[in-house]
Amino acid sequence: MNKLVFLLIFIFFLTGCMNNYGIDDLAMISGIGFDASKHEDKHLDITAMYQVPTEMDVFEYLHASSNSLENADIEMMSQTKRQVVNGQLRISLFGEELAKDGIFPIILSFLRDPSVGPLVSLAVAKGTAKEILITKLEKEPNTGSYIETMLERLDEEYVYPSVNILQFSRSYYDDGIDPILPMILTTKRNILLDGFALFKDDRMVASITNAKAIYLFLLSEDFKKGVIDLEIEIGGKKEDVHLSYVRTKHKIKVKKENNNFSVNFDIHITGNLEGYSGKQTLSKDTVQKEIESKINNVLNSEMKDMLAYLQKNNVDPVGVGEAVRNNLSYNEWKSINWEEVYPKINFTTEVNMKIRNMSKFH
Amino acid sequence: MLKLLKKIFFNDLQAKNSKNKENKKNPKPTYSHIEEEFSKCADITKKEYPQIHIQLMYFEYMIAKDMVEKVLFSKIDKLNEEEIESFFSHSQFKISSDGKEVVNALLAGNVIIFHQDQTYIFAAINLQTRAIQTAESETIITGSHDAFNEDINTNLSLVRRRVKSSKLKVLKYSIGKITKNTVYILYIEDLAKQDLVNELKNRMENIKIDAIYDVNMLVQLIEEYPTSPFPQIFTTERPDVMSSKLTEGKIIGLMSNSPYAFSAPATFFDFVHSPDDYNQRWLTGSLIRIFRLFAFFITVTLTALYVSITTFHYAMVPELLLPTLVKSRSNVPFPPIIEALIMEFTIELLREAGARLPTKVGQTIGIVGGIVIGSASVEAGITSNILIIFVAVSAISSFVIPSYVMSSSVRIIRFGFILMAGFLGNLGISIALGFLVLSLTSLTSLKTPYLWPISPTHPSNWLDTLIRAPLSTLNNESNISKKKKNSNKNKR
Repeated sequence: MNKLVFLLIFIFFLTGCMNNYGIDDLAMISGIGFDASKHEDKHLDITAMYQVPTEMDVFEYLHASSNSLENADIEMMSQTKRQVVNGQLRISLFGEELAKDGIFPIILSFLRDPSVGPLVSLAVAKGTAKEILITKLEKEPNTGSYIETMLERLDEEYVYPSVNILQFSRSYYDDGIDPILPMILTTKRNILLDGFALFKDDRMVASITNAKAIYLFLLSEDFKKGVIDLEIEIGGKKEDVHLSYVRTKHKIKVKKENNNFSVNFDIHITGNLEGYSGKQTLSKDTVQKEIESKINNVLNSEMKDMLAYLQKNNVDPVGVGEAVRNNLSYNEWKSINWEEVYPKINFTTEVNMKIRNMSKFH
Repeated sequence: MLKLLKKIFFNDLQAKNSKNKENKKNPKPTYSHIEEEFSKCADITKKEYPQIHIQLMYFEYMIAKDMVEKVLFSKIDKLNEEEIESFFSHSQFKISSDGKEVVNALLAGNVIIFHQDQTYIFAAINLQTRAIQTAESETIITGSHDAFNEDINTNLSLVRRRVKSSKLKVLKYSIGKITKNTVYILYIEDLAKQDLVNELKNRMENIKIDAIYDVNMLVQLIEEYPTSPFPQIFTTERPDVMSSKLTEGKIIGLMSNSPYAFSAPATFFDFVHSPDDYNQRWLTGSLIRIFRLFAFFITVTLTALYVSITTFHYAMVPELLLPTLVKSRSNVPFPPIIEALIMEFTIELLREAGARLPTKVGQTIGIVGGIVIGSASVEAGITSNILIIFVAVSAISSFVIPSYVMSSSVRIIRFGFILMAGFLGNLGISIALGFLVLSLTSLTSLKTPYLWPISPTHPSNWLDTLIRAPLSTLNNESNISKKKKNSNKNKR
């Protein structure tokens, strides 16, 4: 009993040294942006936005220049009467220039901070991160939360994945795959997704457009969602095809012949043909078969181009390295120089497209 | 100093005791002695028939007047000297030679008859009692509505008419030096474990108290851990519940002048079960039972969670709730823990006021409290409206627990949780929950574990603990307080 009393007294009095703030005394940062600094001795320009607790939908900004996220704290604190905290962080943006320099030190700061969860979304800003964060959207004052929701929705509805700290750092540490990040563009009145940034280690080395990104994701993951828009040629005329409710399955087969690897992608796609600008009657089997084979051809050539582009930049967001590594013993994998092997790999793709059903009226 | 005081008082007491002892010598069962015993009792009635040397003594308001008039007075009026012997040889006249017995019989409401050297006790007790009414504190929707009242014989009959078995054994005790309450201990011989019965007997015999007025008091004298916040012996005013406890192999107790009965050994789950669970369909009963256990946790942790989240764990708040929560907190001048304690305290006061006030005024208090707490305090910026929702939900949850004693205990524990949350956040709540589980598991009720069958774990008995399985599966349900059946195991 005495021990219990002591314990309770200790519990209540040893907490005296801790400063706790009520939830209404906090500046909870919802979005943060990093840009390469113009200062000579500083490395980063940081922009952070937080909601003013006493007002609905009013946001303020903090600006700081420093060499790391931790060092920016003091400068940020001096700009507000509230306690600056990272626990409600939703999105972290990196300016293009900074992304080309390397962003992992910042990611590491996030990983160290116990109040930042691993599910914070990451994105690369076309131009500067500051521009995007200070965009005043008409109906959505919380820019940080808006970008995060937008990326989430694209992830759920379309084939574009959103990337969080956990996924980025996993890809970064894995030697068989390179990370990617979505890129974001602001038009002063709106914010939109504008392609994907391809990283080598933690440096952005190339980017691909939204339209081309689809072929990358067809190669790298299975999805049960999304829409594919294609242009096919039938009888010398260009026709638009719109596929919805797409289901894909991909298999990567690796063959090793004395030091040359050949990798084969076997991709099965089923989808609904919802939009078609051509004149043929789709209910005929022959027409369907023709459309399917045309789509296969288009996809094959596009994917080949995509893989060639990746090899040219020597980035591997598809995870070919993982597939190759899974086929080798540990020592074999260690003995090859993947950096040199990757650009020489012979890729082949087999696409198998099936139209599941047609639109209501055709 | 203390010693001196002790000495003075002790000597004083001893002197008093010795004096008392002299007086307390058993009075002889003669008229003069008994009369002296009841000197200065203005309410005693004495009747004399000098011709035939008979004196009567009784309390007029405790006897059945009509019966006594018909059977005793009218007959004595016509008696001759010779007929007296034969008249008093009837079985309704009990000869007594023990003065104490005579005094007790007189106090209990019998007529005492003195004839020369003989003393007879004539049983004529008729005490005014409340009628059998509906249960006040444990209302149910389906099932029987009668409740125990203050008359122990009525209570006994309420149990006997439900358990028609000669195996239902009854032990009688008298508790309280001054109040001399009758206590009946009931158990079914083949179902109850004999060693538990013996243990309870022991405890009953070792009670030393001057005055006792209710079963809920008695229970505190026979439980193992009087300092624990949790009641360890189940009390109820419902005879149907008590009968079911008997058939579960538990021991129950009734006390005179108390409309409650107790059953031992009790588990925690006795306090959160209601007869309604059995009277409704099993699916409904099971769901309600699970809700009730949820309610137990909600009432203990909800307000504490609000405190810990608004003090430490802002990161746990969902994004859409955040602006609302922060906005509601922004006008409040107190830290969350003070705010929560004020609100809980007010709600507790309201509840207590409602319990103490007469019904007509009580409703007014409810309305006033609702308006004051509900809207005025928010508009004045003393509390945030989200906290009010939390406090109200946890208050409602506490009333879901059927046993009033248990729900009071839980409400007290809540304050500890709020303090821990205010000082240590979610860690504090976890520590408090740990302590709660520890204190629950370490309790025993009449030598049986309090959290049985969850701890120690007996999954075969969970069918009637967390859920209420269909009745056909519950027949022959074994129980910790039941004797093991040797044969016919699980024959259905």
